[in-house]
Amino acid sequence: MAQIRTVDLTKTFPDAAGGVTALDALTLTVDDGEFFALLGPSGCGKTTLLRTLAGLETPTGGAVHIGDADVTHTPPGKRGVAMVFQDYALFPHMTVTENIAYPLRVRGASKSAQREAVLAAASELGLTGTETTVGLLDRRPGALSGGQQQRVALARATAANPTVFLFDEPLSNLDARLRLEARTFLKRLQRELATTTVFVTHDQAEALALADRIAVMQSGRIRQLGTPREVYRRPANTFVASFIGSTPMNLLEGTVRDGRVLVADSEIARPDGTAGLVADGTQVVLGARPEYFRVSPAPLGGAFQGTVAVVENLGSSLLLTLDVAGTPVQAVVGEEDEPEPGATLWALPRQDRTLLYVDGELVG
Amino acid sequence: MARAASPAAAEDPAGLGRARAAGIAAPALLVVLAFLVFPALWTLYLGTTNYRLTGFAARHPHSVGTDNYTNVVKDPAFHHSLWLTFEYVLGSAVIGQALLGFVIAWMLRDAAGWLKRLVEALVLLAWILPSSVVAFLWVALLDRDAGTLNTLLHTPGTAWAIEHPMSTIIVFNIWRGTAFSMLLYSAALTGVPPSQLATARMFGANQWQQLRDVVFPHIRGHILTNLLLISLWTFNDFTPYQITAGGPDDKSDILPVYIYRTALFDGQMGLGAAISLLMLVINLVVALVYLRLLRERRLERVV
Repeated sequence: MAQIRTVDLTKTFPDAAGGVTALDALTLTVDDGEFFALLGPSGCGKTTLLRTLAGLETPTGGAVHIGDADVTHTPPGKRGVAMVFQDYALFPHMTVTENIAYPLRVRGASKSAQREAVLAAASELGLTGTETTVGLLDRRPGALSGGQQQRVALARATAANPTVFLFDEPLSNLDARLRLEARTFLKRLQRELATTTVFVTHDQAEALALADRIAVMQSGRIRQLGTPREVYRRPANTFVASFIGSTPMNLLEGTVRDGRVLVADSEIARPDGTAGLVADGTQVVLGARPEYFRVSPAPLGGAFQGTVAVVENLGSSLLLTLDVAGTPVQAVVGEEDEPEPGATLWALPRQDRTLLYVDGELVG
Repeated sequence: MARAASPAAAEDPAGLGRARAAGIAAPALLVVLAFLVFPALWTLYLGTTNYRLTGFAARHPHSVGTDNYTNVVKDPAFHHSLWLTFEYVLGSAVIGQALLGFVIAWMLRDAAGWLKRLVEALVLLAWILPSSVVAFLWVALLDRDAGTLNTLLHTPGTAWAIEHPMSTIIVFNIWRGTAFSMLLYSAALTGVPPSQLATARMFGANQWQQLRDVVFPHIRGHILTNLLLISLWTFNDFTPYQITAGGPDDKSDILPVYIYRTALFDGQMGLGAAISLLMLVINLVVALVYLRLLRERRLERVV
């Protein structure tokens, strides 16, 4: 059981131009037992951070603490950390049993201790046979499906009895249907083990679904740190706002006038909680998620008026792209309200869910 | 109809017809016949005669049956030569080149690009130079009076090639041939998944455990192929003759040198041919053993 702390963690990779900064003086605390997500686009430094926590990369500056110990210069095998890689990294020439027993074998544990740990980890991960299913313990990794391989990798990490789990893109090698199943499984497993877990992902839906807290990263820095609810509801800046959400947030440039926001030839009510914080005439960006619009064929006060340009079917709902005086505005409506392309509609954003950004940062 | 068509297509996939296909292959086959099959058969024949380079038996060789073979097998000089060859192959190829090549490849796997290229270029240089050039470089290096090695070590007057003939040619062949193993292992090591190595490290595996549990299982096929090639090359290697000429006192008289001296110095062509054939058989046995091991590995994978 351990907390993870990084202090001014910096990692620079040398290159022809003098160095690429992958981590920029990063200070972060992951609480004991927390399920923590590092989220960001590729090249944001999230994988470097994970590998630095693992000890596979040596930081250029700063420190890493796990529990009470400073492990900045501790080799990976002595940190009490287990990592599951994106490709699971199972040893192909060993059986499932040998793979799971490997951490104990390396430490020189007795055969009986190895057997015990394998059985415990395998039954935890559902790898032993039942009356209706065949056990996988004697198979080679090559004979397993992707989901089974992942569970073997998790079992092996569990058998190491670590104080911290690190997962690198844990779901990205699975096909779409299996991914949801594995997500639920992973979250339940982490709850049961209550081991501090850090995982890396580029998929915001995965981070929102799994994590207790999320660090959204860009260019080696943390742009926002918070619970999934906080990060989704109140993105701290336009980068996070554009990154989080399955349908991207509308970010519309405008100006403040008389307590309203003038954007795309429409006068929209100022978001809740921003009264008196922004002076008249200030250039702002209005953030409005497509999910929080009221769309009507009849005129609504303080709404965007536009014509339907594109209708995308999302299954239970429809994503409309409206042309509002030349600016595209997206809104989600129920499946029963399918409009014809070209129809004129009024879209009113929910005032309690709109956000105001000045110079890219959230106001209020 | 379909059944009749497919065997024909399998027999003649290029659609050339038998005559034209044979015509195209003929020049190559002729060269193979002239320079490979015929000399091999000629050696086989010579091995059963008392043919000599000069004298009466050169003009009128007659058959001696299997006498050459029975004589050679009983000859202590042959046993001695065979033993020296075994030492040479084991010391310079299996242990020297393969082990050193792997160690260099393993140490260079994470090295900076320029260092890797520099070492590779230097090692490769030893490999691509013509053997006669390399041999004379070594003669100059080891020379008793003006040799570079004696100057470097401050051991004037030491005749390395005479005092330590086997060690000399073994070290020489290691120096000369390590490049091949190193390049082969370098390429093989790039195929070892980094995530598996990192996983082993995360569980606390030391260098040896990482090699045993991750690296060797992945490159086993490469190791066997490499050992097969370099032991056959070394077994048939004649270059040491240019440094020690089999001497002094037959102390570095490995098989190719022994055959050369028997056939061309002593002039006993028939006997030399017989030993050559024995050597060919040994080559075949060695190759078969390695191929057997490789195949077992593949079967194991399927199971």
